[in-house]
Amino acid sequence: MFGAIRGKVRAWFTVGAGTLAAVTVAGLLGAFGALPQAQTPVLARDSQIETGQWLVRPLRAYIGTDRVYDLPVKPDQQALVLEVEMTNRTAESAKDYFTLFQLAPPLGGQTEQPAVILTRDASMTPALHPGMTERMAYVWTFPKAVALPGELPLVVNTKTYKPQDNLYGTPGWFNERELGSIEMPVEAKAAEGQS
Amino acid sequence: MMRWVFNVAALGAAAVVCYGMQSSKPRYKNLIAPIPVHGSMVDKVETRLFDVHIGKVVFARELKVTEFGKQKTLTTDGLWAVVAADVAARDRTTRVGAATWLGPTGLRFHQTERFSSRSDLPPISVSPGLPQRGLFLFELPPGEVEGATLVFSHTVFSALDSQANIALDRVPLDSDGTPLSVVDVYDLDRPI
Repeated sequence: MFGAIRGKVRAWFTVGAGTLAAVTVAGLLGAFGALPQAQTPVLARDSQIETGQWLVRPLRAYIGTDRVYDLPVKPDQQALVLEVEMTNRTAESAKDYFTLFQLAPPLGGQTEQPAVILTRDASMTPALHPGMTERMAYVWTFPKAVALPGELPLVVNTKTYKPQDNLYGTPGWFNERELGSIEMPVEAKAAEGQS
Repeated sequence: MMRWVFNVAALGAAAVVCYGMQSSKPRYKNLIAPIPVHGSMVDKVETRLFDVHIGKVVFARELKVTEFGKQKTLTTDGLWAVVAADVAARDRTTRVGAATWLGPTGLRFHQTERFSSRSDLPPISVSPGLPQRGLFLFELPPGEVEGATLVFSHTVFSALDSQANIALDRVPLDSDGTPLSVVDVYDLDRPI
C-alpha cells in the first residue's frame, strides 16, 4: 500500500518538475524585482564626468531668447541652453552625443531632441575628434508659457562598449543607461556677446 | 575500461577542435572589411573606382573661408591639416566621399564637418578624363602629425571595396611635435 503511494508521489514530482522549476524561478525573479531599486548617484556639477565615450564637464545653464549661437529662436519660444566641455574618449571621431544629457522630469518628455552646437563657430552637430576638448551647447526649445525651474534637473547617460555586437560582430557602444543626475542652476539670461 | 578512456579522449579532442575553430573564425567585420591599397605621397594610388595622388599638405592654426558671402575664421585647439589631393575617376563617374587621418597611435580623425558645402570639399565628384583637385580638411592635435596615414574611400562604410591608404612623408617638427611649416592663417579661397 505504502509502496503504491510512494510511486504515485514520485510520478507527480517527475511530471511536475518543469512547472515547479518555472514557478520557483518566476517567484525569485518577482521577489528580486520587488526590491527597492538602487538610486542613480547625484553627480557633482562642477566635476568632470566620465561617461562611456565622453568626458564631460557641465559649465552653465541659461535661458536664451532671440538667437542662441546663430540658432534662431522663435518669438513665442524660449531656449534652454546647457553649455558643457566635452572630450571624445574613443579612438575615432564621433557625434554620438545627442542623448548624453536628457532633461529629467518634470521637463522631460515635453521637447524634441536638443540641438547641439559647437560654441567655437556655431557649427551644428559636428563630430568631435579623439582627445580634442570642445565647448558645446545643448539647446532645448520650449514655448514661453512653460515655467522653467531655477535648478535644472538633468540625466547623464552612458553606454557600454562591446568589442563585438550580436548582429554584425562589429565593435560599438550599446545599451544606453543612466549614469547619474545633475542639477544646474539656470541663469536668467545669456551674458552679452555669448549668444 | 580502454573503451571508456578512448571515449573521454575523443570528446576532449572534439572540444579542443571546436574551441579552436570558434576562436579563429573571422568575424563579419573582418570578412567585409575594406581592402587597403597602400602607397606613399609620390605614388598615384589606384583603387577600384578612383585614383588619388596627394599634391600638398599644409598645416595651419586657423582657416579663413568665405561662406555664403561672409568671411569666416575657423579656429581650433590643435592644428588644421589641409590636404590637397588630385582625384581621377577610372571608368565611370564616381565620388570620393570619405577621408580619414589615421594617426601614428591608431586614432582615426575623420574629415571635418564644420564647413557648409563647397565644391572642392568631399564628397568630390569626378568623371573619367576630368581629374579634380579636392581639399580634405582635418583637425588634429600636433602629436598626430608624425607617422600618419591618409585613408580615402568612396563612402564612409565601404564594405569590401578598395580604399587608398597613403603614408605621409616626414615633416620637420619642433620639440612639441608641431610642424615647423605651420602657417598662422590659411585662406581656403587661395588655390594651392
